[in-house]
Amino acid sequence: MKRQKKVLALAAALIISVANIAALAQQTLDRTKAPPPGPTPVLTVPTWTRTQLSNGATLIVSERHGLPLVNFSITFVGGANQF
Amino acid sequence: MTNKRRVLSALALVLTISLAQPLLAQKKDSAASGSINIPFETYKLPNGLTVILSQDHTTPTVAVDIWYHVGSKNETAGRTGFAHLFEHVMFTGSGHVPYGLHDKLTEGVGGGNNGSTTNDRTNYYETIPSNYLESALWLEADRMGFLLDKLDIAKLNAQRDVVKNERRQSYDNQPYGRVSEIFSAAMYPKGHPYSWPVIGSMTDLSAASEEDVKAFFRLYYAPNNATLAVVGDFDPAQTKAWIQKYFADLPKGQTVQRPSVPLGNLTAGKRLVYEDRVQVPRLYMQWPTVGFKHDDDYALSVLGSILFGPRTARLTKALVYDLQLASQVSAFQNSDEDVGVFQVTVVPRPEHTLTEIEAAVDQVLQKFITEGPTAEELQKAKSGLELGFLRGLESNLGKANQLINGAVFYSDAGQFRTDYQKTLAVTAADVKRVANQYLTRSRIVLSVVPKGKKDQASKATESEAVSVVVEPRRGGK
Repeated sequence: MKRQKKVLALAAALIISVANIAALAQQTLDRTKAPPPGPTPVLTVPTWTRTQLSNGATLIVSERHGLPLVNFSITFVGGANQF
Repeated sequence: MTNKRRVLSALALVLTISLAQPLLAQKKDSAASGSINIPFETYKLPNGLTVILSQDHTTPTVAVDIWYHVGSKNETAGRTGFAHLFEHVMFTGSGHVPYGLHDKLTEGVGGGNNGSTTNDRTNYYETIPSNYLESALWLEADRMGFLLDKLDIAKLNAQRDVVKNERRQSYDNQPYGRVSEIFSAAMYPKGHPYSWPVIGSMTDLSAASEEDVKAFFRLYYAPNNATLAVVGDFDPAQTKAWIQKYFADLPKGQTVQRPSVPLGNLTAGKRLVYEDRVQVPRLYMQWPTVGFKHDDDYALSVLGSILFGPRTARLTKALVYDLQLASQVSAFQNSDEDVGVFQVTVVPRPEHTLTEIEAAVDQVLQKFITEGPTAEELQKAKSGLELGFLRGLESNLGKANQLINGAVFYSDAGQFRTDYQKTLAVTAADVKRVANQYLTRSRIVLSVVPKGKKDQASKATESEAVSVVVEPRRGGK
């Protein structure tokens, strides 16, 4: 008897949760409305180090792993304004 | 960004030297497999949709990419151009998405969208700020499940005209623009799935009925023929819930039959001449090879990279710099899922004939077939291919395409690791072998010459004229 009650209770709980899911699904599956955007994400700028070489050049290093690639770039201050 | 802009405005000219070198180029014995770290997970919905998720939180952006395993090879003769036609129709709204909203929710929020069609697959993608991920999934699900609800003959006709215009712009009215379809038709027997161009023919595009087009969509644009990748800045649990919400109840379609497609095989060489509205003749050669699923594809790609590229590459060095016969050269393995070709193209310098060029190309190739590559040539070629491959994995969309490519063609989203390793493992002997095996086969030599100048073809008297049906001129002169 007791056991049967438990089963009934479980069945009832299951029916309720299934009904909930169905109701939820019906609510959320209104395909006519475009989902609103989430909150504006925060941009986390990668970190870098800045050191001075003995010859005076500035060295900036920013690490990112995942691919065996390195990008290397030198900027010389020497544009039209200097001449 | 602000800081960078200030520096730039202070200097009128900034000299920048940018170099990128793959670290592995020098040491192929290092643990290459561990070097590319792209974590991903993959699963299938009960309706057959394959899902790939790969997180990368470097920037708050995300790529949504869907490939349908359908391309021009799934069309039938007389009804060509459908797969590509859909690439256009898919951006004209669907059941719950009015025309224009797709662009608004992607380009309108600082992102992008596009699609592309090949012989083998069609893809659609969005790159967006990560807080617009849910709307991108909603957009993609809607056109997968409900495109036909809003597709009528007027809409179809409008896109048919757009595609016809694309054909005019990119092929019919483009110097040398018909070369690829001349080759496809010459390389494969009539009715072979790779014998017609992706863009289709004007006649077939005109003949397509609304029902033809809808039936094609129902079969090939179902979840069981699609793979979705989400790559970038997203929360996996939330994203899975959204994918479930928008895609899970789309019905599974019929099982797609994939007939086996024979490789190109010329029983005898062909020598063709095509008169085009061009000023300068060009020489093209194609040999039938293998598709990209065949292991020889790796060595054939290295072969292309040895023959053509920097000024030290074999054909480039000989024809452009040493002999100065040509202004441009190219050579590469062009492979699809089932077939492939190796193609050489040469643009002559004004005082040199295509016959002379063909002989010079053959001489370079013959020497290479006998000797094979030097160790340095091999290393350079592989470094170049490696760099290109790794560069392709830098963006969210690039990663998405690599992962899906594996899932669609190899049933393994991790195929990129195999491709990477097998490219690095190609030996000088492999390259020599494929050069011997494929470049000695019967080939097609195509000369494209200015109108009325068939005598400019390579070995003109032995060349057969190609006639291509050109769209009849409408009105006017």
